[in-house]
Amino acid sequence: MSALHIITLSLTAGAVALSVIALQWRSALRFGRFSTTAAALSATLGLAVRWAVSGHAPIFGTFENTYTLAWALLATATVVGFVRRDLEDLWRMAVPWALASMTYGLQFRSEPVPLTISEQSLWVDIHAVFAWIALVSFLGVTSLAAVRVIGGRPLGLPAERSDDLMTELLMIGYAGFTGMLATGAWYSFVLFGTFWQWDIVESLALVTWLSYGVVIHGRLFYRWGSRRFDMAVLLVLPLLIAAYFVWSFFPDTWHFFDIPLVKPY
Amino acid sequence: MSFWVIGAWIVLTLVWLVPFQFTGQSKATVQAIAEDWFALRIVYLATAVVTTVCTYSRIKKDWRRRDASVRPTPTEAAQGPFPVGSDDIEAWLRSQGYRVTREDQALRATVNRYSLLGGSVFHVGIVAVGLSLALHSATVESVSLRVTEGQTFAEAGWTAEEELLLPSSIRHHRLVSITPEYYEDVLLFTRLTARIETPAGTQQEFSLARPYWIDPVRVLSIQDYNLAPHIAVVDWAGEREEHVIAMNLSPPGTEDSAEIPVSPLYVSLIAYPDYGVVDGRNVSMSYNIVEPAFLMSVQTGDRAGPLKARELLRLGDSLTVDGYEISVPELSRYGTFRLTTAPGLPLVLLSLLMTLIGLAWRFFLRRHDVMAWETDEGLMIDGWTDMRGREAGRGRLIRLARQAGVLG
Repeated sequence: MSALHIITLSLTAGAVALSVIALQWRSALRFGRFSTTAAALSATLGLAVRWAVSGHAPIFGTFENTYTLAWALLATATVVGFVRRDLEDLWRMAVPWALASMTYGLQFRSEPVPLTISEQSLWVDIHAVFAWIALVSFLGVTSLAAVRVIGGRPLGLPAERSDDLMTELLMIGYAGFTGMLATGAWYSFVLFGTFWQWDIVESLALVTWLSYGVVIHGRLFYRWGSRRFDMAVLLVLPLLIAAYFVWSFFPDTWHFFDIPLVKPY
Repeated sequence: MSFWVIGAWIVLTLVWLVPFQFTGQSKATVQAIAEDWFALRIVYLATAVVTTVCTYSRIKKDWRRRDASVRPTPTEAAQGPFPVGSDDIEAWLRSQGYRVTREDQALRATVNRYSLLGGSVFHVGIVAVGLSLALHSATVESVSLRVTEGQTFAEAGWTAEEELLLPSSIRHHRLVSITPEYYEDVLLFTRLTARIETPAGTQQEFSLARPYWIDPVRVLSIQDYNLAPHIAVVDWAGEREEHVIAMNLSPPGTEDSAEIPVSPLYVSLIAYPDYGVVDGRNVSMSYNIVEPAFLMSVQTGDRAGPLKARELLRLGDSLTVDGYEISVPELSRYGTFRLTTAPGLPLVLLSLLMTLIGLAWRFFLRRHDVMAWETDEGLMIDGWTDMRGREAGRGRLIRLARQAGVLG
């Protein structure tokens, strides 16, 4: 584990603390934003170094996945916060997930290793990019829904605006998730000669995709009110987390990336 | 109805499929539940029906809506329009790519009016994915075969049925080499590449992650590799015969056995691809083929026969049993290949592409509606962007108006 990883983790933890402090002391928001930006920069640098050392994109194994997820959340919140003044507090939605993700990743092997042969394909990279777009968007929707369920006004936005933002994030997430399934199915055909294998990760991903499909249809075509919409988004969260991380503790899947480095004697 | 059907699919998968995957059931069992269980089959069929019906009704609705401005209504727009200082708002909107229509006192304009149809394309794609996957499953054929380095695919021991699947275009291709590679001394497979030679003498290389496409619907993939020692036998008359025997000897420590042709002997081998001795034990220092050695046990007759000799041989060493001199002069490898013929493949790809195109269409060509009307305070204008709401629509209008210098 590198020093940059520890710095990112500390800055993220600091941002979470400042987000909580800001509930009473609004000036803490400025420091929290700064801490998030610094964490995003540190994560960018840390992952770039890791990429250079391992020779591949840092998206393999639980440690790298959780690190990259944290980076994606922090970087998205930072960039959107700079570009859109009305969303400058978006970092408050991102940092708890980033901290949880990095903390979980600490339990796994962290030394960089080369890719196994089945991972050496551009399709895997494209599959992972779609996956991250989907996960970051869905976690964003979940945060907004959680704040609304406990009676808050996420990011200080009026209800109509947060409705629009959630719908947009949900649709981006769904598009990303669909792209992830399509590219994954194609690569499964390339590797195994079959598009679908009813692997645990695939089963959970299918159920998650169907569930978000139901939420989107409820929202767009059945005029679900905010309360029902928010609750539905929160209900799908366990499936989303399971679909993305079940392989990290259940190795009997084609998606297992924490391969033990077994010596022959 | 569609909610119930999709809900049933979600619930059945969660309570009757996912738990089996956690309890260590074989992949075949799980696949049988997912594909053959009657309740899930009913759900699949119902899903196909409701999705088709919903998609059909949406296409009709979206087609009708292409010309109708859905928002903003005059009442909504009256809550927060902004004035525009242009005398000819209609010409300006047209110059920005809007399709303009006039209604009584108001003017409506739309850009990307076919955007909603992107959603229909996505849904048609989803139905097509289901149907094409069903077609694919019914028509796909796959065979596995072992080809040793130096052999052609035609020499790989096909059954008559399998032979029919072997296209003539690959029949006389020869496997030149299959090369595995592991990271340092650990079981981390970093390379598995096959090199084949066409009858014309040109060579092509492919790997596990990048298979060899024979044509658009036939693909040759590497599944695995293993070791094929050359076993040479010299009998008491000095007659020498060499046989390449495909054995299952990898990873190191795996023991496999075979009859030795032209002799009454039976050998068992353990291969050490990178031989070394640690604490007095024969071991392989890594998984890579560096300094191969073999622990050879020789029995008479078959596996149950009496042990005649057991010795560690390096390449070229020999062992003499009952007048037969046995040696391993060379170590080749063989690949396990899979030839898949998938006539439904273009349809599956087309439908997957359709879902992605539909989504991209819906997202990146978003419909934008504008309404403009005269008031006592001047010309007012307001906008709405599909899925992003009025604020985004108004923001877009303001940007356009500022660029054109017509913002009042």
